[in-house]
Amino acid sequence: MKGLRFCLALWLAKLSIPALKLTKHNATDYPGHLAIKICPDFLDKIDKPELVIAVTGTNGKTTCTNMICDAFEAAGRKVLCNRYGSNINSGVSTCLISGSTLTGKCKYDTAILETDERSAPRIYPYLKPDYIVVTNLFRDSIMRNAHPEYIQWIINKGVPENSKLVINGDDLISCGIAPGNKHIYYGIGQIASDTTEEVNRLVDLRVCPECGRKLVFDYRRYHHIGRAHCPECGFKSPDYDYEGHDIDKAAGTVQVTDKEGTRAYKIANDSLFNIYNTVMTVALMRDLGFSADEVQSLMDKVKIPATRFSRVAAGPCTVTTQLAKEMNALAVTRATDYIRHQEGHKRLFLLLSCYKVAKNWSENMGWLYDCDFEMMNDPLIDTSVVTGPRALDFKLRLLLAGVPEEKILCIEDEREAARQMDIAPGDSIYIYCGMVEGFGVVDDCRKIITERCEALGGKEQA
Amino acid sequence: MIIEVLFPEVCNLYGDLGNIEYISRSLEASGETCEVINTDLYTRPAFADRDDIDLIYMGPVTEKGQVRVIESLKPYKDRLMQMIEGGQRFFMTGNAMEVFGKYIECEEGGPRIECLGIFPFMTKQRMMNRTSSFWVGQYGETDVVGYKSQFTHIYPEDTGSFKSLFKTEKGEGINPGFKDEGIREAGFAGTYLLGPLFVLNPVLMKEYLAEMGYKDIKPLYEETAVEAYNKRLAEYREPGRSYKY
Ligand SMILES: [Zn+2]
Repeated sequence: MKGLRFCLALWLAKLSIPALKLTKHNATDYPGHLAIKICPDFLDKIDKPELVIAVTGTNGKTTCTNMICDAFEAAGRKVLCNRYGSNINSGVSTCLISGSTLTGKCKYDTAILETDERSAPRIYPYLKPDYIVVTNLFRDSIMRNAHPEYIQWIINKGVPENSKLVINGDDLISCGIAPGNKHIYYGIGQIASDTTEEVNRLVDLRVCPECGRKLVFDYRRYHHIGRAHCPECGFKSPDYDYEGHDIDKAAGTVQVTDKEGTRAYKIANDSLFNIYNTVMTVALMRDLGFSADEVQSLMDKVKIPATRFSRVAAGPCTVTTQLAKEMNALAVTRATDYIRHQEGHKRLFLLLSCYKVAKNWSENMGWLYDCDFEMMNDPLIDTSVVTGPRALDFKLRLLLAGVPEEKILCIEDEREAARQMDIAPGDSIYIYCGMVEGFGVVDDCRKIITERCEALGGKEQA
Repeated sequence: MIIEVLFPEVCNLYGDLGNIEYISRSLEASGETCEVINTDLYTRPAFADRDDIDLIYMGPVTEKGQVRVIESLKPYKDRLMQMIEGGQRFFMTGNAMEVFGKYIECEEGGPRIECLGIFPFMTKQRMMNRTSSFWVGQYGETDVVGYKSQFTHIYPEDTGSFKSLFKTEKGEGINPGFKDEGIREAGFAGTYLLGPLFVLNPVLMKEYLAEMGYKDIKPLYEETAVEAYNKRLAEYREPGRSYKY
């Protein structure tokens, strides 16, 4: 018996969903919040699907959750997923509420749940995931996340002893999560662009987690991602269970080797970050017992969600919206590294002023000095538009990064900046957008820029 | 100028090494030379054998890293005390200054981390209670702005004799019950203010460098830096704005 309190919580929460939808309120968080308020151990008591997979980490949680969900749906499973919803305990509860009958029975066989890393102690002990997938741990919002060692510590407070962890073996910070649990390591073996030098400003792990002496990187992909060892105490990166290699961008595949052999899998996007996500999805599915043949055909149906990265042709130009979490030096660095390696001339429009919070306070902008804005000092990047309440901070940072002043357009009003930026036929315009949901400003700026491109007339040259 | 940066491989949180970059590049752009010595954990610091270092800098560090910093500096405690008495300049940001106090109390009544014991203050660390805010105040007559984001606060043994680095106009001091911010003992300066502080405050940087004998150093891209500084100052002083978030 789950008790009267639980039933009351479930019914009231369920009743609130249509009411919230009717009044156009966000129904992905409140019902769970209400249920927990009425019944504090609600998340513990509610029925869960047979297989529960939680996804966490600093960057790429939403993308990974979506990719895993795509794969399971393609496999014909009934999947409960918070892909459009909140990822804290109330959001996860809401998702489970929406998947349960009025008697509290779960209608799904599989749950794939994105979970906020700081909410781990409030979710994992009750959700008891069979698998916890960790994308990576990097510095994030200074206010909320402090530093990745703190996030590692806080996740460790919540991991149940029977959860298996699927971990990026190229990220030695993630590798330190729940050391007593079963770890399944995925990664990408050495590739031509790896170096042994430090090429990024942001490196969250330079010393051995065991003894504090300087780590030696056998090779480094970016930031602290790569393989390393400690000459002092012998600590080293783990061996892979699933190793990605031989990335073929033209064919759109990556080979993955596991204990049964090697197979080529389709990649959803050719950025390294997303290839990691592909290898992770393969590792998880294979560990769950899907055959290589099955996974190969499932991966054909896996996509990157459009809100993360979307490109439209506009007259003789292209306009790309690139989600790059603001306050997150890693996300902006990775996005820029990808963009600068694309062919042709580019213009960048940075909407990264932390709009959600700017009215009440100002987020710590220290992250700008962890972020490689030096990458924007590139002969093929013709303009960088800095705008919003923190435009001047961005301008100073770009100047310090060596970007010539004549290539920087600094206008505080975002829509005005969109109206004034230089646009020419053949341009590739990249809008860096720091938030997922609109706040009007992203949509408005994109609309202004797209219409201006279309007004130039003519078709985009392929 | 010669700057020794202590343990940049771990004392590098929140972009704060931007302080050193901004100082050294501004000096160089103004025709001065600036040598930056980076000292690793568990190695012999340059200050142990040299008397020509103008500034010793250390930035914010993780809690585990902080323990390693203490271990790395302990063998040089006497030398550090002698240098502080002699007026050596130190600038510490974030939680770096805490290692110069007596101890860190990790949780109420919980374990203690013994520090260098050079200054009579202790630190309370509350990992489940991160506090963030912005701050505006003064260094002498100069307006200063900055951010704070921390798990820890320092508590002086004797608040009456404690010397602060900055006067607070709006914001929290070194702890919730103490108005002013930072510590200043002769040439030793420490503050919880992040930013990086000198990038956010080009006027403060100019003044601080002038105190060290480097007069008329023009902060790099001064016009933009000062414009950003003035805008931030005005925003933080808006009457309706609360400083805690
Ligand atoms: Zn070691």
